[in-house]
Amino acid sequence: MATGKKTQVGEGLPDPLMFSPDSQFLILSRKLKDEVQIYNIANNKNTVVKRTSFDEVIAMSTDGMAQVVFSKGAKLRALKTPYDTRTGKDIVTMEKVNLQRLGSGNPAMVFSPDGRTLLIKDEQLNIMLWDVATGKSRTLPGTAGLWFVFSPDNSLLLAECGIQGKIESSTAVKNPSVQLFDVASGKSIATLKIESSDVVFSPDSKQIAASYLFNISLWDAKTGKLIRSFDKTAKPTSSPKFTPDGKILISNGSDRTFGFWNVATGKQIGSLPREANLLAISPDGTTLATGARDGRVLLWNMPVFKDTK
Amino acid sequence: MPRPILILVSRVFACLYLLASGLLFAAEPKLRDTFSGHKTGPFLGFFSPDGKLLVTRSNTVLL
Repeated sequence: MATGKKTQVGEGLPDPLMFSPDSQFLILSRKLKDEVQIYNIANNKNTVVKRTSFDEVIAMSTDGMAQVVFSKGAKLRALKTPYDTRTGKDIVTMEKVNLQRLGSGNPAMVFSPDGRTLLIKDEQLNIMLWDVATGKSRTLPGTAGLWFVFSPDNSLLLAECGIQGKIESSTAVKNPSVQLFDVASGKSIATLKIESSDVVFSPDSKQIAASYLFNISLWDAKTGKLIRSFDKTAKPTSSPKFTPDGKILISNGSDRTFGFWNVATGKQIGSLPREANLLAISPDGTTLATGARDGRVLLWNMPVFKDTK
Repeated sequence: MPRPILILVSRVFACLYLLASGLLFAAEPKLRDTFSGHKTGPFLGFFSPDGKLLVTRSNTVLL
């Protein structure tokens, strides 16, 4: 990155798009093309893993290895796809799972960050946690809503839940609320009064930040209690992100700025002009990348805020 | 009170408010480098786990 040398590795809108943990590969999933592109960064070579049926859908774990294939007959297979092969190997197969399909035609599946647990929202809006290694699953209490977020340490799950109802003959969730679950026990820890899906765990998994319109709130991830509300913003704000040390929160303001917030005080401590929605924070927290309207990518030195040292 | 003095007093109070809220001397990010290649503003991007690479997505995916 320091050289500024760039390589075009793909076109369109791959989802998900991720690095392998060792930074050696870039993995681009193309659901519409039924393929996964694995780009070897060192030798600039692509491997394309083709899927066999348009019905199959893929959820990928963040290690870029495990894919889940929903095949005909409601059979769910998890494949382990080594970077250097086109075939992949089965990890485990789970039968008789009727997945809830979302508007895009994809069922709701989310991997935990360590790739060991797969969350599945089935047709009856059950939230099932599937152990990828053993194929065993358990069902959490409540009816699944539209979104799920695992904590970075894999121990907690934040999920929109509600009461099962019907919308135009389809099963749907009513009166949604946000539930905090302990993943190991499957028990609900707390109900959080959060009104949007704009939530993020702190890097240490101890806090949750949520933004909704003019409000940013900070919650204790152990108890589900509100720690503090940040100063109200002048314009609606969204997409909060913690810096790697968890001391600063960066929000995306509709006034075309990124706002910097001191997590300990809830006060705004800085801002940065925003032309495009891109905001990336380097793993060491020293560099920010933002996008410009003309297509440029801007690299910034992360400022040192005296009150957040 | 004459109008110029009113303006002066209001500006002093405005500066005091900014000082109190910490925004006047807030540290600002410093632009270090720019990369080009996308035709329109990239809306997604992230660093590699080792921090050496940056991937960005607009109409194309650039590394």
